[in-house]
Amino acid sequence: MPRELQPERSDERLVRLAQKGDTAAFESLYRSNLQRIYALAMRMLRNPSAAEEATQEVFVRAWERLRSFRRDSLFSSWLHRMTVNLILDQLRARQRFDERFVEEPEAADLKPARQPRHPPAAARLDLEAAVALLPEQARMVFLLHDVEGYRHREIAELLEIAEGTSKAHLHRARRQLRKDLAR
Amino acid sequence: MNCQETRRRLDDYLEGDLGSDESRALERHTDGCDACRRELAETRRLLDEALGLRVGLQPGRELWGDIEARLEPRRAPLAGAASRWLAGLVPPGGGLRWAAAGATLAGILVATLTLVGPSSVRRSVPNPVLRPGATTALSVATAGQRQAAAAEAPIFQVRRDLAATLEGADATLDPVTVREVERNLAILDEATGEIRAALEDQPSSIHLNRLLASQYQMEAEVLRRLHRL
Repeated sequence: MPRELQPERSDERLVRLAQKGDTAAFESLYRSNLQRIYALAMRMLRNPSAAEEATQEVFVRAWERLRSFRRDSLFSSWLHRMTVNLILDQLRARQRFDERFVEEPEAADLKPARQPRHPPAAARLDLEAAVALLPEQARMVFLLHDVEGYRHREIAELLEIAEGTSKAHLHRARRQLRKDLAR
Repeated sequence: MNCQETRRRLDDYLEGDLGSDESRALERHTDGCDACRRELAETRRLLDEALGLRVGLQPGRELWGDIEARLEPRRAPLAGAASRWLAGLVPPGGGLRWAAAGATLAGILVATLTLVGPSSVRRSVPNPVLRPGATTALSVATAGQRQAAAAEAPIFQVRRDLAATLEGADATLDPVTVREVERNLAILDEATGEIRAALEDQPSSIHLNRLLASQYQMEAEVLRRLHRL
């Protein structure tokens, strides 16, 4: 169990302590950032177990790299960026693995799997569910841009796509979401 | 601006990327076009809702236990022989200057090692831990030994001063700089250790004792310079 921390201990102070090896301080940082990081992982990965694993990995990596954290930015922003990078790396690795080792399904099986699932016509979706239905790249761009506040230039760099492609994905995502939410 | 153009530029408009003329043209169009006005309103509502997704989600299980089990204990500020030198020796915000200082150290050390030469020292002997006031083979008899012992004392004082001044600032250093300084200081310790190891075999060697004294004087001077940076 963590020892009680004084409420006035700011993130900055906690980071300084954690940089010196104070795991209780690091646990406090974990607890204050957990829900945002897990939510981001969950929305990017759409799988609770994968999101939990990614969240764990992010905090372990943050601990290992804490010494390199320059305190001129917010710890939460640093952690956030690390999460995005880690998950994108995982997704790219998975894609490379699938491309190399997963047998191509029959054409008949492929079509429904690669198309975004559409909600039942009668059901009105909330945004959370509608976002989960977006194609992967469009979902990533929407999450990073409209939810997390990244600029297209940054998204292009993170996703290794052209800035114009990022804008096109966002346009597509918004159009799809408006359509789904209007049902 | 027509409907097609308006819908194509809507994202740029909301992003604030349209010039004032284009913005006004788009606004004039949406004022007079129900469909485009509705699309603009829906997109704005979507963006407001999207911000609502920033709220966190709680994972279905407690993750801290697994995370904590994987946390390596934080290393001492620097590992190995160099940590004995560097514990707390890092100036705040002095990364680049430390890199330069590290390079200076490396230069001096290379010269020292060249002087000592691989054949004149026993390389397999582990580095001795340098402690202030430690009794060493240098504390006895010959003039050379007395000279080396006298040169040894300022080193410890400089190290203590550096440690006291700079303690706790190491976390602000660039890791690359830390590694560079660590590497150079490890060389420094190694050189001293080799000379001292050689002296165990030949305690009264004038050459080795002078070399050690000279080494200590150089180290003290370098550390003083580092302290001033």
